[in-house]
Amino acid sequence: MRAALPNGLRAPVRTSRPATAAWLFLAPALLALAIAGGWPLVRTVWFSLTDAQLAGGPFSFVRLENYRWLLTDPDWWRALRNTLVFATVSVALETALGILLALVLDAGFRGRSLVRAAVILPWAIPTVVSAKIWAWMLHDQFGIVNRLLLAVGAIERPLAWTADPALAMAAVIAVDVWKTTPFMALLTLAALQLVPTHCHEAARLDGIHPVRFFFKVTLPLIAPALAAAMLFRFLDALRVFDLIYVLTSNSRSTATIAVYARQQMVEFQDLGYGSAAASLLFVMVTGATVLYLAATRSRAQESET
Amino acid sequence: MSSVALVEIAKSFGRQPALVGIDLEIADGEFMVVVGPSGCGKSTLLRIVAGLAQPDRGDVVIGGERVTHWPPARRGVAMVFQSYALYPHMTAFDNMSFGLEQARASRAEIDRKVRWAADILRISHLLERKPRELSGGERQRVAIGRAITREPGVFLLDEPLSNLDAGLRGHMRAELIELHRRLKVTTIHVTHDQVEAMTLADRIAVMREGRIEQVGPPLSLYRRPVNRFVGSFIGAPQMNFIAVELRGYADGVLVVGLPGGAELRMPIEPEHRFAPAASVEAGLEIGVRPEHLIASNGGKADLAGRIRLVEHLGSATLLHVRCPGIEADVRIQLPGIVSWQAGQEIAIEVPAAQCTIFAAGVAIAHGG
Repeated sequence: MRAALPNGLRAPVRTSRPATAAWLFLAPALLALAIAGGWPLVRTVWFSLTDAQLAGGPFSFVRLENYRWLLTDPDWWRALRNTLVFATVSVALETALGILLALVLDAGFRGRSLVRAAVILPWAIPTVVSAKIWAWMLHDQFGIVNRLLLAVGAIERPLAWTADPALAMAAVIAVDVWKTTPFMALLTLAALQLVPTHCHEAARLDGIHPVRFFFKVTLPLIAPALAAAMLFRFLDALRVFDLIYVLTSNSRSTATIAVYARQQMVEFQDLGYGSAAASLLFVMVTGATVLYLAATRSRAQESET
Repeated sequence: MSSVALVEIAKSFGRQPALVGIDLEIADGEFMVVVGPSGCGKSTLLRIVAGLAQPDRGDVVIGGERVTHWPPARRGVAMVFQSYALYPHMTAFDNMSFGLEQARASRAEIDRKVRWAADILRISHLLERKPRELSGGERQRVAIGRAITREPGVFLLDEPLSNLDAGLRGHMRAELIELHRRLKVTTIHVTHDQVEAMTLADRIAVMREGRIEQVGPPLSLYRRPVNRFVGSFIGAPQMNFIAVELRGYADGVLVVGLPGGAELRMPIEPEHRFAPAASVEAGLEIGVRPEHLIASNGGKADLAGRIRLVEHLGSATLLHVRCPGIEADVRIQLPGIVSWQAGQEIAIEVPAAQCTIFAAGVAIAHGG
């Protein structure tokens, strides 16, 4: 709890001058945000209430008609399910693997700094590029993945990784895990520094098994940082587009809401309907963020009292 | 409870030798303080006893068993770290019981042990608090409590008091002595603070650059340091070193001349008795503690000089005296408050019985 200070001490901080200065400093960033983010957002929401076509021409105001169609479209529901499956499974795998990787990187060994630098590479490659690389590696006829699996006898004939509806989602998730695990690993590695020095050694003297130490000491200590990292990743995964579009283009088995929205807008030229799908995605992501912030804020207040 | 023996322990980090052939025996129930400047290898030594580090050569023997390659948990040792190493998210109680749960003790047994330790350390009322809700001294007690609940055979303390403020440190020193008297556990305490070493130890091991320079009871190190390093490291304020010249050497008695001309006669140690006079003369100096010098009032004056600085400590007064022919100020500590002032001339008596003579840094004659 903040102790009450005499007014004289608080007053200078609360005068309007520093506040004005703060807004002045923020103004350029806010302006840029408004132009790049705010205006398109407002336009998208506005278009979502119309029957506008991408090619232009006259259009009229249809109120919530687009949304009504959306919620009755089985393809939209399928896209929603795909999105949630992709986000949940990929984030869960990335977190688990990221923690493992971070624990390995946290242990001292020769050449650790080199490995640390190497680990970040998949994250540093632009998604479109890595998706394209993987698209070739997973290619049913020329891909190296099939070739290797055939060579060791794991499969009898080539698999259509990205085209087979039964495999496409797994392939997409695998590539995302490959790409994003380093990100989770580095965030976890930073969080691991929260474990006080010598705690590992105190536990070794007590004969506490490393696995027990991880679940009883390490995990509780890194949990808050881990939760924030998972949220970031989850919100990111809800919006996924480039990876899936490059790897499986318009396959219905992997199409997420973002892919669905693009399809409506660009391929079917239905700007109003596509905008409605995009707006709904925006509402979902924002909702998740607000829920998380509310949860952490109430927890912070709890621990403060 | 167990004795500890270190046999020819050597350890280096890369090309940097950290420990060079350490031999040290600690009796069952003894309080051994390992003291030395930072980087002397004392913490490495402790970690080797704990099993947190492996020696390159040599053996660790605890309770008669050669434990050099045993994992830490099997050695029956408990350690208190400088940083306390408490688990931040656990209460004091959980911090103390965490290790016991691993030992498959029953709930009631764990509870009894934790409350017993908490009672000894007077932290019973703090058991439900988390480390961040505790003061430095309280965290320290929890860390010690965690160590004693395990009822170790050997208790290892790595600079446990260095994060406490001066007042609390003095208090915890007394508590550690009391704790040791009560539990009688073999203890190895590592510190860079010679006051801690003097007050806590049954015996002190003074280390420098990976070697043990001298091992012995505190007062024997104070009275009869084997070399210049031990002489200067043990005791505060620091020993005075005054270069002297050889005047005579016969029948095992060394006669040296102080810069003012006065002579001191001291019996040379038997093991140095046959050293050739020439090697004795190389870098000959006497070491004498400030508290042993006497401000001479018209009596015998071995040194004379002008007072440059007076430090009033209340219980004692430290005079810094510039003497002709002596490079550093000679420091004299007089009991209580005295009327000497800077700028005054002072005559100093050097009692031979309290001096040590060093030749090339090695003590060859002790007055006492």
